[in-house]
Amino acid sequence: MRRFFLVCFFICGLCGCASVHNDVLGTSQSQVQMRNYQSRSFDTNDKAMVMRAVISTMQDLGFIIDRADEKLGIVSGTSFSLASKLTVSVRQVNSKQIIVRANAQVGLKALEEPIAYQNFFNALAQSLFLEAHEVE
Amino acid sequence: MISSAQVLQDLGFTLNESETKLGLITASKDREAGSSGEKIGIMILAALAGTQAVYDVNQKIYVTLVSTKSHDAKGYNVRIEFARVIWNNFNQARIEKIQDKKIYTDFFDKLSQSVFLTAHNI
Repeated sequence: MRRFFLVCFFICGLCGCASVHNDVLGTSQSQVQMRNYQSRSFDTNDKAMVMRAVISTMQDLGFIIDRADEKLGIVSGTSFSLASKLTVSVRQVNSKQIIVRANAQVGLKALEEPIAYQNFFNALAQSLFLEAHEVE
Repeated sequence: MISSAQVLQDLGFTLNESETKLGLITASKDREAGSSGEKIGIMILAALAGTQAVYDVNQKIYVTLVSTKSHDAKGYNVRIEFARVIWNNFNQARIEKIQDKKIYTDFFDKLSQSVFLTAHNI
């Protein structure tokens, strides 16, 4: 019986170590794969305009804006109805293009469905009157 | 700082605060705490001992990242700190600083990759 308890404690301990590492750094896809479906590029050099469009798109989708940093190009918001959090980053890559990247969590899980991001970028493209291009 | 923000997005964090002048970013993510195997193990042990099973249900992982220019002004020094608040099935919370060296080493590997990807406009 004593040996059984010891084995149980050992297994629990092992699970715990692996679980913390996975919780903090774990993702089901590679960095490149995730960036691919979470990012779109737009043919403009007006970062402030894109950020304003991101904010209004998030508001259209029912998000409450928690934070916006123009210099870093970050907008974060929370939706209570969808139980989700969304962070959108806007970065200028050259004088003609801006890359917008979104990542979200729904409940206790990271949102890893490309279609959800596709819908967000479609709404953003409509708000910007610009076509969204896939980032390669 | 952009690469740092990008790597945090890679890891599923949502950004809470940023102060560009100070090079500070804070972010968090909510996740389920503990694996199913761990919970089952605790339940079996509690049943054998005749006590109530107490296991972790969910957690909020916090990260604070500070990047400052290095002394030779050729690069940046990045400091990162992870902590988490864990709630159990009785809704009791405990705060834990994450001190596993491997987590920090692996994070910096991912940050190096992010610097490369961001520089190549990915």
